[in-house]
Amino acid sequence: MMTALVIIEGVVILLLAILVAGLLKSHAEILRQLAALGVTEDGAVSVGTAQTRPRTTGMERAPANTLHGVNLDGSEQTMSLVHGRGPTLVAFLSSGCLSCQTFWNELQGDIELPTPDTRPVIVTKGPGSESVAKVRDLAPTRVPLIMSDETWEAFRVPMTPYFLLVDGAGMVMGEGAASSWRHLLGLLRQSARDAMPAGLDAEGREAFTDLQLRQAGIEPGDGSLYSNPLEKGS
Amino acid sequence: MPRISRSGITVDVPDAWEGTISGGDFQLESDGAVEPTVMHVASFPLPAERGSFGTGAVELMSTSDVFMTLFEYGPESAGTPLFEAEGIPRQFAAREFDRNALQRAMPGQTGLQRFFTHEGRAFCLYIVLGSHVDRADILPRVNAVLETLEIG
Repeated sequence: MMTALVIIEGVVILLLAILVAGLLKSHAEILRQLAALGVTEDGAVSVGTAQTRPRTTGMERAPANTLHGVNLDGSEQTMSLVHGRGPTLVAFLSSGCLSCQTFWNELQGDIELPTPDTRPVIVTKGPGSESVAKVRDLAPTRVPLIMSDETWEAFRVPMTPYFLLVDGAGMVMGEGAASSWRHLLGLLRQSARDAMPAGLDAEGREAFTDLQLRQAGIEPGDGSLYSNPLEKGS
Repeated sequence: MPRISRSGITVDVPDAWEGTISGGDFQLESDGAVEPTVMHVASFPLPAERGSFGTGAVELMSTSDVFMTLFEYGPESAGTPLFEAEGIPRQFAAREFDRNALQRAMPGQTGLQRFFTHEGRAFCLYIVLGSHVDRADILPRVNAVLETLEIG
């Protein structure tokens, strides 16, 4: 009799353990899916866009030539994507999205950029939809930040974090989501390679790159090829 | 063309240019300082960290670039001898620019500084051009921006 009770108890404990493990796994999967969709820890949806599926990466014009909004102290500002210089890496981040945390952290330090003259710009939703205090805690001082619902809607940001690399003429060189900065760099470099015509030898690739630079108004020897836009003069 | 506006200052930012208007109302900060209204308009990407008069930004200018600052001083300055000129300066000539007018001397660049009072508010307009030699070619873009500047 006693043996039977112990066996039954063991089976019940085993079943409960399986149930708990299943629930934990299910919970983790739900959190992962929500984070990918840009839903924050407190349940708020961090994106409210007309288009909810990711768009394909490809060479097309950015939906706006300017990023227009306010910065953390409420200053109104407009930033250009067609300034004719190096690319702009637009990082759509939110203070509540778990997946964004790694990018907030990495942008605080010395980050590797797709090209030396790439300018990173962080775009969050506007002060009415995003916590200014939280963003202030997370925001790096050296990277321009703009808070703008208008920009999110114009770019139809499908999720957070989301990134676009836009050249100095306003053409999208690559876009998509990533899980880490290293992952993002890999995706953007792949986009750049994909954009290059197939079958080019080293000389052809060089000529293609020169042509693209010339179209952006950058001639061989231009100072912008060798300068870091984030560096200040002494 | 984007238009930015704050603290009674409005300006049209030309396509491919950047602009920001910060501060305003001379409200007392927690550290005892007051924050003046500062407008920056530039023909190149503005860095996040820069001084009111362009330190950190003018170093990034190419020879064809423009950097403009409108800096507001306290109301006690309005109408004083330094700010006795009335009204927003709208049109400048190439001869008015001087390499020695730069707050931060950069090779090849040229600048101009004008103090004025408008609607009882005291301002300094400071303009940097990327090239003294080519200033006559660059200047029309500056004057076009000044035509859109409004101070209420």
